[in-house]
Amino acid sequence: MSLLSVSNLSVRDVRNDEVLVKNIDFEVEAHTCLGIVGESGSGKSVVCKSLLGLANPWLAVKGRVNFDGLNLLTAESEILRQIRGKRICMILQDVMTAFDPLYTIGEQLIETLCESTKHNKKSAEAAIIEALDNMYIHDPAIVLKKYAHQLSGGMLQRCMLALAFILKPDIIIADEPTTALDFINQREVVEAFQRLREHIGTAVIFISHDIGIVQYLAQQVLVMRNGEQIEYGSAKQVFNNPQHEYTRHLVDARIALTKSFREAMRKSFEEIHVRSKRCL
Amino acid sequence: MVDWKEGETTRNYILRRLLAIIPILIGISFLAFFLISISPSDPAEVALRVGGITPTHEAVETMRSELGLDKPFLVRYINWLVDSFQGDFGNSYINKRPVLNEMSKALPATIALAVTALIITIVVSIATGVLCAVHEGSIFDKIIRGFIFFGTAMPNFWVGLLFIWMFSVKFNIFPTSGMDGVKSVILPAITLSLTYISTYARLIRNNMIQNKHENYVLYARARGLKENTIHRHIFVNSLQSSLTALGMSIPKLIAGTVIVENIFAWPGIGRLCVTAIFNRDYPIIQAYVLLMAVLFVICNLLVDIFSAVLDPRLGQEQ
Amino acid sequence: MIFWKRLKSDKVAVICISVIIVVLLLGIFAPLVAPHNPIEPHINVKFANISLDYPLGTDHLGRCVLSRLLYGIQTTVVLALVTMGATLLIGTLLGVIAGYFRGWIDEVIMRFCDVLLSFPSEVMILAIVGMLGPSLTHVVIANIAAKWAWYTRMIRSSVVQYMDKNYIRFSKVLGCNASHIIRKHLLPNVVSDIIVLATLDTGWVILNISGLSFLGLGVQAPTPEWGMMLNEAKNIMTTHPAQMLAPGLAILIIVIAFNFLGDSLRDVLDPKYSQHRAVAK
Repeated sequence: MSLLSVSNLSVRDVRNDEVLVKNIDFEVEAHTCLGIVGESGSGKSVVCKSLLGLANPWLAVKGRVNFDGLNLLTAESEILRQIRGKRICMILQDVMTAFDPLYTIGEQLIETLCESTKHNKKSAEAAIIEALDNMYIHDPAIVLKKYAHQLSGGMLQRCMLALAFILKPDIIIADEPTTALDFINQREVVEAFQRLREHIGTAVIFISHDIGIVQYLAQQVLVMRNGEQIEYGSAKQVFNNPQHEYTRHLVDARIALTKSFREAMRKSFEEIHVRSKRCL
Repeated sequence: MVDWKEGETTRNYILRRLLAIIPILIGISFLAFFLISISPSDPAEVALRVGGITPTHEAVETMRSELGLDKPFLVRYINWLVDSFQGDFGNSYINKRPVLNEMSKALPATIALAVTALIITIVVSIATGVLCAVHEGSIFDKIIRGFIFFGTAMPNFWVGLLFIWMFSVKFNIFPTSGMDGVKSVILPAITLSLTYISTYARLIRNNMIQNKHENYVLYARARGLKENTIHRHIFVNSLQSSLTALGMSIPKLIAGTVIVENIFAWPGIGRLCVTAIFNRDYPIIQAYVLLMAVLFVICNLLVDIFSAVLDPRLGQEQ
Repeated sequence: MIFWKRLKSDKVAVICISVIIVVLLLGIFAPLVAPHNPIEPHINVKFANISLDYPLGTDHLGRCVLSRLLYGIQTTVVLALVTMGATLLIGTLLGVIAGYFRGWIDEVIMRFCDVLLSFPSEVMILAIVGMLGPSLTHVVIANIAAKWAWYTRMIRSSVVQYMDKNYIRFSKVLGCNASHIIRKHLLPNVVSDIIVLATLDTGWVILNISGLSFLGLGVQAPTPEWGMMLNEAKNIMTTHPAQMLAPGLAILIIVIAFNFLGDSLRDVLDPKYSQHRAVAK
């Protein structure tokens, strides 16, 4: 019995009748990672926001999203609210504006914990500091006193992950968490994800247009294009033996990139080697 | 106009803002003085006529040098400025008493009226703005927005008259005019606040609706925060954006009392100014103009500094 | 243009434009349309009831209220439009010069506007009317003086924005002279930014003119003007309160028409607004 199963998910914009997402089916087993890949505009974000009822108010969502015997699309708002954060966590893509700019990060994290769990202010603070530490953040006590604009994107992502660390949800939906980050920050966030999964065994839905990261993290992969499901299966199978031309194109492009990168690195290493020999 | 530069400390911003005020104040005082000198009638002649003296050529010349009108423009300006600094705005042409005294007598009445109107405005604007935004699109929202729309279009002198007729003449709840006791301030204060309530309620409502669609609200929801908590966040952010406008309502209310004071025979500076205009009592008009202009500039300064200081996004002292 | 199509489909806008045009026509042709002379007093028929002869009754001097309203359109509405027109003319002229030529002209004009804009408009209007003396002309001058700086600044920043666009640069390279570029390329774009604000401001100017006339600082008796009519009605409030209704409603209706029109124009010109409106429904 899978943890989350999505069937026939479709999203339509009521203002102009445009169909954004059509007939998406996938399942997420407990403790696994599903990667959703596709180009920008393929509808990945819309799908994930729809799972939690967070799509824009002018979007009509149809289909079934089964979670723990409940259809999330028709659930009562109070029940949905209790599921959000505690059982299904979401990490946003645009992290710099995800926090209220007028309150410190600490205040907002503590507020979330006090509302969602039985923590009081003090215990919440202690728990957050410990979680931030686990996410490789130095001086967590100082970070808590900062405002969102004073922290880097990577830091803020890890604060979000720290929250997930404490809440221990069944599923974490990560909406392109690394897209807005630079390379070094990206690596830190991906490592943090791995650590999170090791520690609390949460299932992850990882959305990205970066195939490399998805390859590293995911066991199942869903490929989307123009709102439609192109391919779905185990990561090994999708990447090594893509059925659809589009998937092949994505994989090839990435491999080509890696190949040329490796070539370039190899050439420059050779040069350094040759030059250093000359110096001796 | 004077924006916070990136990474600028609070102290520096305040200093910069204060320095920027100086040319503005000079410009304003110059403008005020210039406006005053555009009067087509010769102040000396007017002063004489009001005093009941026939303005013969010699009398006018004597009066001119008495009033210092024969000196060049810049000299007059500087003299006037220096005098004003010391509180000497000359004497009223009509009753020969110092302008400062006349103004000080009338000012408390206007302040009382403006403060009452301010409280009403802020309370009602925020309440309606918030309720409308929270129930966006509902019948309540639509009705209130209709009221707000009417409010901006209604001539406040008409509303004032209707109020007087309804509450004073017909139902005799409030006094029709004059200033005696707390009851008498209610109708004028409500009339005065009506125009501004419309503007600010709309401002707060729009700010809140805009904030509703911000990313931090999405994440707040995704974290499972209660709707009330989310509304609190939206509210605080909206208030922050509206702070400058709300702050400027203070001088605007004080300047806007002119018509209301006229209708309700409220003895404030607005009424003083209008009477002065009819009587060609230039020194009073002068003082009123200068006072209000300076008040506006200073309020603007304080509001800008205050709202900037409150915004944690500005002034990082690293 | 898409603009006209969208505007035509907005029923509210169409109603408002019709109302405004009808009112303007009535005002311009008041001598032909009004049933009676608005200025001549006929004390014997004062406070007459509503009848075919006097559709809105008569006032305290026996003058036909409807006729006074109709003639009042000339003073209140037409003058407001003239005021706005003049304000826009000055604002556009100076704004375009400042934005197009930049340099020291820009600096001078902008500093001047800064000072003027720090001066509260209500106070400036009182100052000008106070100094020049109560009269309708002076009220108009005062309103123009109070508003032009704001439009100059708005138009200038619009111009500066558009100057950066490539097609202007190309025109310059091609050797088109300044006035050609300004007329053909700049103005049409700048106009759409301004027209919404100008429409909304017309309502403000109408309220101003009638407000000052109400105080007795604008129009002088016996010229019919809606604010002045309210002033006269004020004096007989206890005995004939109904006299307050007609002029007040007239002001209300015309200002609402302009405000609605301004809002519709804004919806038509700025797609983001109509998006939010659709959501709210």
